[in-house]
Parts: sequence; structure tokens; C-alpha cells
Amino acid sequence: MNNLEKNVFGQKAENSQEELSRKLENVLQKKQEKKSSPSHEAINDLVEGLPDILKEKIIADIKRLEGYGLNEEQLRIEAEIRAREIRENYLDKRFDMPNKSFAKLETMQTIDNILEGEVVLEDLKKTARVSFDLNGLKSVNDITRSHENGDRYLKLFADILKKEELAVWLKERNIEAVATADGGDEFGAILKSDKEISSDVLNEFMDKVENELSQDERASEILDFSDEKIILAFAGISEEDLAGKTAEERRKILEEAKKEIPADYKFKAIVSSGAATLYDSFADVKISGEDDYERILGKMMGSIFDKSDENMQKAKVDFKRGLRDSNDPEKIFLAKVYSRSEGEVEARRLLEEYMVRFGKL
Amino acid sequence: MGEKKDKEPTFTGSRPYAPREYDKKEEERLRALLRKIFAQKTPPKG
Repeated sequence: MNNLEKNVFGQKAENSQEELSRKLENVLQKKQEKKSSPSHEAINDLVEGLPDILKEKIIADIKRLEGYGLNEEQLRIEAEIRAREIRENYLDKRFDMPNKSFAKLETMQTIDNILEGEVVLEDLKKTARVSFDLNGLKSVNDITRSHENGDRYLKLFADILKKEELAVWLKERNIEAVATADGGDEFGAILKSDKEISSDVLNEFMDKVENELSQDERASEILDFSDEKIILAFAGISEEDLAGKTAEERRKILEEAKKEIPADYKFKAIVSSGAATLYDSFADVKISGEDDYERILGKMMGSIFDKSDENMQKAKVDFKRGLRDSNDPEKIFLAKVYSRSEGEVEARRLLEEYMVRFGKL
Repeated sequence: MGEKKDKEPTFTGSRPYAPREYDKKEEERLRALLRKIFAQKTPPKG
């Protein structure tokens, strides 16, 4: 028998020919079975667009049910129910992005993955969270008298977080990220790497997101201070106030209202951000003897959320104080736009502050 | 233990991030805590 008569396993070629056909048939059959199995290709359309962790959750559930002997149609129905539940529980439909529940789940999963093998304290620097709070949502809602505009304003920021180039920028720095809509005007990002995430990268990331947003001209289309309706609404003048006025009187009222707005002013969307790594928040984790592993994971997750939120709140306070203390007319005006929706008490406090600084208005 | 608070906030709304710093004693406590959590995840068999 020469080498040509042997297959790679050293068997006789005439025997292997038969065996090969049988094997091929077997493979084709298995492939066919796999194709019709709801836990694989058949549910791909149901899980399309979902983050991996959620896809895996559905597939694991369906695989388990396959083991219980459910037929293809039943499995498909179960998969549809689960996909619908998952989308309702973990996705924000307005922006088609994961929500805060997902952020919590993903963070717990990430912490669980870190706690593998020889974990050291420095490994906790490989996971970070950034909290974002979009400034001015209430003002947009109040001045435009439309929550639809508020939603457009939120979407503007969601679009920036979802930008492909932002993910690429992070990937180039060896970081995987998931951006989430955390409810109201709050958003977040979970950053994961197999190396420590440096403070430079975190600062650059926040700057990048903030700059992208503040340069987005759509904000000035949503809250357009060249629009007469917006100017009058900002000055607190309603249609009722204008009823019965002559065209000349109306023109004067409008001119008066315009005086408060800096020349060529364009409203900018600004987000306040704060970052924390698991390392930063770990000292705040309080563990009792009764806590099981799952509960500890929950506490570690809670601590990084609290820490990044705390840093974001500090940034917000600094930012607003910076606006109020500024001599730049645009910043002073932006402070007024924000304060307009912060209630009468805050407005009065600002007024008193201006009177002290600039004399009687 | 403490956090650096020496940088000026930016106009766009962030307070520059600075990692938290721990003193030796706190660092040791945290290392021990991490070992304890890891042990809870992987309890010895038997």
C-alpha cells in the first residue's frame, strides 16, 4: 500500500472512501438539524441588534427548553416572548440603545469576569464607568413648550454616544464600551479593557463626547433664539399678553425681549460627565458576613455607579458655578436659560447675586 | 487616602478625572477584601 492509498489517519483508501461519504452525509444532516434549530440560525432575526450578553441570555434559555423536548414551533414562540421581554426590560426604545437595567447587568457580568484567576487590586482599574447628565433639558421643554423637542434634544446626545467613530476611538485604545440611556437626562458608558484604563484616556473620552455635543449645531435648531416665539417665551410673554396690541407695540415688546439675548447667540447642548473605575469605588463597598457572592457583586456594581454619579454631580456644580461667575455674556445668558427652569427660589437667588455684582438691573 | 482635586473644571461640563489614591493601610485592607470576595466565588471543594 503506497501513501496515495492512505488517508491522513493511515487507513486504507478504499475503506476511507466509504467512510468519508458516510461522514459527509452525517455532517450535512447535522448542519441541516442545526439550521432548523431555534437556538441557532432560526432565532437570529429575533436577537438581531441586541448586545451580546442579551443574545446569549435568550439562546441559553432556548437551549435549555430544547432539552425539555419542545418542538420547533414552540421554541420559536418561547424565543419571541423572551426577545420581546428582553427588549422591553433592557432597551430604551426612544434611542434604540441599552437602558440602565442593562448597564447594571453588564457591569455585574464584567465584575464577575474580573474575579477570575489571580485577581489583584490593580485589575479593578480595567473597568470604568462614565456618568453623563445632559444640561438644560427642562429649559428646552419649558421654553419650547414641547416635550417632543426635549426628546429631540436627548436624541442628539444619544446619537453621539452611539457613533461608530467613538467606539473605534476606544477600540484603538484597547477598550470595549457600552453606552446606555439611564433614564431622563442621564446616560452612561461602561468601559472595559484587559489593561488598566488610564486617567488620560478617561479624560480624553469625556472631552471628546462633550466637545462633539457642544459643537452639534442641531441644538440651536431645537432651541432657536432667533425665533420670535422662543424669544417671547423666554421672556415669559404669552400670546394672551400680546392680544389686542398693535403691530408697533408688538414690535417694541419683541425688541425689548431681544435685548437680553447676546448678539448672534446660538444655544449649545452641554453635558456634565464624571468617571470612576472599580478601583476608585472599591473602598466604598461595605460587605457584611451574611452577603453571598451575588450580593457582593451587586454592591460592587452599586459603588461604581455611585462614584461616577458623584463625580458627575461635582462637575455639574462646578460647571454651573463657572457660568454664573463668568464675565462672558454667552455664559451668563446660558446660566439664565438653565435657571429659568430651576424654580422661583433659585431664580430669586440668581437675581440677588446679579444685583450685588452689577448693581440694580 | 484621598482624591486629587487640583484641576480646573472645563467649560464643557467635566471635572477632570483623577484616580483615587489609597494609603498603604487602606490598600492592604482592600487587597484582603478582594481576596475574601474571590474566595467566596470559588469556595474550596469538599
